[in-house]
Amino acid sequence: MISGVLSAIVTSFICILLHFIICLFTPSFPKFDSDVKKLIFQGKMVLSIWLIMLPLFFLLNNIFANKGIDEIIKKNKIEEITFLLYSIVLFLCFFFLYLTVYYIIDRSVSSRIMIEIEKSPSKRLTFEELIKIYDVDTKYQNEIKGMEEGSFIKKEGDKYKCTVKGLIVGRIAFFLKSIWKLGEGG
Amino acid sequence: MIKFFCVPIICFLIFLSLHIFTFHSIKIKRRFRTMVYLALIMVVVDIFLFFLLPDNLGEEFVKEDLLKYIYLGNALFLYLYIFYFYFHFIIVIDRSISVRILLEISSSPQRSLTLDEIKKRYDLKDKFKRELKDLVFLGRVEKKGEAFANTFKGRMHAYIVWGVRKYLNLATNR
Repeated sequence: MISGVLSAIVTSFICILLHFIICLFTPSFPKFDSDVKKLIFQGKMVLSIWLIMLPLFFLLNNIFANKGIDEIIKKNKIEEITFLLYSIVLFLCFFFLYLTVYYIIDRSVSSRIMIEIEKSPSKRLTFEELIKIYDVDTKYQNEIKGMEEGSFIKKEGDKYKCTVKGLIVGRIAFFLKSIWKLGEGG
Repeated sequence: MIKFFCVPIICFLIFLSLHIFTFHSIKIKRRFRTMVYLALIMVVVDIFLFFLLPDNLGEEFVKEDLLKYIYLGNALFLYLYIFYFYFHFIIVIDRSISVRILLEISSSPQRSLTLDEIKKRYDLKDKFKRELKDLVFLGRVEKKGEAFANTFKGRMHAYIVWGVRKYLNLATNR
């Protein structure tokens, strides 16, 4: 079991590294007229890397199994603790998977747009009508409130300032966005 | 030992029931934090159940030679899960409003901005325009003259999300 888990982790790490290298050495990606097309392009690239590396996953699985990693764990009597740790990791995997679905339900802008259209008497809205209903100011306040609660920013006078945590996250996001060539986004 | 995946599945189902029950019956202010607390409680339950349940849990239904395929399937799940997680991470970094606001504040000369300055640098109206364009591309919304209307797919999406939001007492102005 552990040989399979190890091969999945090692191969995925190589896939992420490959994606970084491809993005880093590609001067520019095609320009897209919508965000979703840009993300579909990125998604196809990442999925292709994962599928191409699938044989490596099986190869590593065999190598680790032949090296007797599972037996080593059994011999050293750490099998139970390894299985326990993995069961916690698996639960957290399910939890994060659920969080992504929950995020679409609770926070997604596009879901809210579709709901507002459906709630309107004529079941259709112009852009100006949508902006009136989907109050932009409230949206800004909700986001800022959430960021304050998460200690990413703090209010000093009438200005919002990044906390150390916010600055670190901001720098990481800036670095990743520039590597992945995602543009301004948001 | 197949207990390693039976226990987290049981724990996740308990978590899901607890989450639905709490959110449906109580109006919760800090929802994300509550979910994290529930998950942490379930991690403790996971450890407890792991030691409580017998090691051969469910193994009477599984033949010995099937076990290696279960282990391989588990590894494949993990491999594809890391793909999903990584791709989702790219989406969050690109699309998140909070990340964009954070970037605007941290890249400003004094590393601080008023709400009006944030609005000038990052116009949410522009974000809504782009979202509408994406929804049209995805076939969820169609343009009828000057107005936008949901397609069948969009209507189904709206009703499901609307229903779940109502049931879980989630704010409607997010």
